[in-house]
Amino acid sequence: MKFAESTNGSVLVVKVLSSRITADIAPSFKEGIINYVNKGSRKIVLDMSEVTFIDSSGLGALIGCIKVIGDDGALVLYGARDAVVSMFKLTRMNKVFPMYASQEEAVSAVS
Amino acid sequence: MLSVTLSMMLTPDATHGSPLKRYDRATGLSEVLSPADAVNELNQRFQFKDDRYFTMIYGIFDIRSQTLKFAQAGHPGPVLIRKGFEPAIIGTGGMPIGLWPSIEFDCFEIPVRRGDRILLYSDGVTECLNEQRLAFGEERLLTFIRDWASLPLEELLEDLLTEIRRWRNGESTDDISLLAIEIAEDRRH
Repeated sequence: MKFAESTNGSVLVVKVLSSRITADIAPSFKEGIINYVNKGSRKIVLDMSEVTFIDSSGLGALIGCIKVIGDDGALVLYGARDAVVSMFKLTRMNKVFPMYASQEEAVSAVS
Repeated sequence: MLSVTLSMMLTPDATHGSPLKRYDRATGLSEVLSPADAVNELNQRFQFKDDRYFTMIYGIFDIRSQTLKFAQAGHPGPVLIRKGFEPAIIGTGGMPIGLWPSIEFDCFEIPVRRGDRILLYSDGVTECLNEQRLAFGEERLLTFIRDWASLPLEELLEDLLTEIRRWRNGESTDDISLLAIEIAEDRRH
């Protein structure tokens, strides 16, 4: 599982470099994000623009991340494609993980 | 799940502690919980500390009022197949069970009539990929049903399963589950 990371103010921006977040990579996805949290990043913006598909394991990994981050942190998304947006809407995960159109909007929402 | 549900509904001994019924000690009677209440109850009972969860769809057909009430917990919306209408995915979505105790599940209700069919399916149906890594998808599912809706229910299901298997060509590993219900025409006259 590969990520590209950058910072925008006090917010960590992580670009997901896999096109599919499914059972085979969900554990390493979760491990990668939790590594960022353990290094002190509690406000994370995920760039989902490369992701074309996320399944139930991928959602589980994201949920695991938000449970680790806790209420005082934030994990928000931007750039999600239609297939990903529909999965989030079906499972109402869009209420758990706020989704934004651009990095600027996502960063200012958690800043 | 269906057989477990039926067993719990019909076995008197299973009344106590069943998430599907509320037992009233005073009267000795049980009230069948609404799908939303049953799913809310299951969510309270299945709280995982890690990222595990499960999805389900639970509904009750009320033959007398001709309605279908169901609660959708992270599971794909069923397809309503009605003569003279385009098949349509129904439901409002909902979070899966087991994530947080504070989630409130709501109920979706639609009027049904004789001859209506409801198709339930797992996400392995719409998410299965072909050799070009293209998902079968909801649109293809609806188109297939529209084209073959006049077939007897069993044949429609068999043909749909064949179509899905042809599409995925043995590549997909996710399970494929299909369940269809038809409200029989009144044949008493």
